[in-house]
Amino acid sequence: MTTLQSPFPELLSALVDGELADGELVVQSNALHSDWNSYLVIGHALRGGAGAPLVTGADPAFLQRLNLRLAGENVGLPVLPVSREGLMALPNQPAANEAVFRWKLVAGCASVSAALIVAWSFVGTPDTSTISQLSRNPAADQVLVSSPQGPMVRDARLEELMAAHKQLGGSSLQAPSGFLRNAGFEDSQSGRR
Amino acid sequence: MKFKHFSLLAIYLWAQAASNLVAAQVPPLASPLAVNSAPAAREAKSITDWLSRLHEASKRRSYIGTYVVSSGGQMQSAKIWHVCEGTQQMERVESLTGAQRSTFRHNDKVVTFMPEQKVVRSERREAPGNFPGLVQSADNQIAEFYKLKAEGVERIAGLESDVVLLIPKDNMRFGYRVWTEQKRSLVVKLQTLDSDRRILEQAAFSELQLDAPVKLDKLLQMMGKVDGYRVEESALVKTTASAEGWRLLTPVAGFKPMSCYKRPTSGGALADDPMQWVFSDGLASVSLFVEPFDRQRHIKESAMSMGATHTITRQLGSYWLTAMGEVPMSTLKQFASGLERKK
Repeated sequence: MTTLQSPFPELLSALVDGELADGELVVQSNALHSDWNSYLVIGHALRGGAGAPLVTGADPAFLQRLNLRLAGENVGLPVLPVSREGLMALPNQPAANEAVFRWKLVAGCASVSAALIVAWSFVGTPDTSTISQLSRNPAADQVLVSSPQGPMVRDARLEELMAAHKQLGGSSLQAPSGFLRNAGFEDSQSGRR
Repeated sequence: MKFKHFSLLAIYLWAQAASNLVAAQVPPLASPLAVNSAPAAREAKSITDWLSRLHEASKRRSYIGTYVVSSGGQMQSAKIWHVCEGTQQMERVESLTGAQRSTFRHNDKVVTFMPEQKVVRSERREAPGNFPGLVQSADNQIAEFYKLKAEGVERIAGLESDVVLLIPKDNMRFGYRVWTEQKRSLVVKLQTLDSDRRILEQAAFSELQLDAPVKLDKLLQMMGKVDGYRVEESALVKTTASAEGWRLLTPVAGFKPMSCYKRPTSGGALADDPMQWVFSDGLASVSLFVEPFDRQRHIKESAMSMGATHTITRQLGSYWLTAMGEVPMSTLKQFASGLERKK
């Protein structure tokens, strides 16, 4: 951080901001000149550093030498030849979180969830057009659904039976929910007719 | 020697006195020794009375509410209007999830409006989803298979409700946790629980206005407005399992046959239509669907669960059985192994 050395920082600040008329302040010393440069840099930064980069207080001869040296340097990233062996070797590198078991759990759960979501999108209440297609082509309508008991073929016919069960089954406890679930399943029935 | 006998007698008398003292301090309902016939009869009466009260409340009360059912990863909700005038019951259900659908039930007549397809389906159903006869009949065995346990009071949909656990006495059925509104005994929330008391399915009113001013004649008017709709009549053909050539060789504990229907499907001959044989233990139900085996469709015997509803399929000779119900898989397997074609 720049330390201001001038005894008149307020005056300098006002001058930099253009609030003083020319000649009101006389630059008397090197310290004041240094502060002048500092305020220019601060002002430039506060205005968002728009425009050309502000270079103050630097030795022009030094900057010229630095630029020449930079031009002579090869600053691009080296392009290495990619071999097939190199590509094959990459998967064998252990991941940074290889040793952390919970990451494996998370990854496993995420994969299973993704698979279930995709499966569910097939299973969700099919619309009428889907049902109609299923009715025309019984062999193509079956979807393998995973359930705690293992995979099961679920099709429009099964939906229909489920609706029939909800309609006539249920209990005195489940009267409203049975009725509602039945209403929810009636789409598949309607599509078949 | 004599003193030894006397000391044994003293210990026996002391033990008797101590057990009487303990028994006197334990409330009768909490006593684990209450296994004689009188408490069992009391328990049976209490569970039957409780279920009858619930059943009456669901029929007799007028209410408007929003009902949410969560099952098998799916959630559905609907707005329900229910009214009872004399012996007439009327219900209107507007689905709030998925396709637009309005269902009206007037006693046993059910009319479903599907505005997107401009179709109305009209059918007659026995009181949907309940078997009041079974609950109220003298030979009901519900208390043999379930016991009640009070679990306190909770607020549901803004109403103080009693929480009761219905615990199955064997592993052939699921348990239930039931919330009933305190004053009117209307079921406001219901959970179906597996043997580890994990929730398989639940349903609850998210809002409920009891004794709401629902007008039966207004709902009837709405039910009759079918102009612009194509009306489809659904015809269930009542039959018996015996007439269809089937019998259940080994009864499944607690489950009684309730009804049997054939359900005509589009384009099929009546003989090919699936038979639906419904069983109930008063709380849970099982449907046995039997249809001719179709090599194209009936590829593999399998099992599936969706919330509380479990399903298994089996090939029985030249027939295909789909057993489905809100019961454990083992119960369905018993049904499947007990069903046979009459010779």
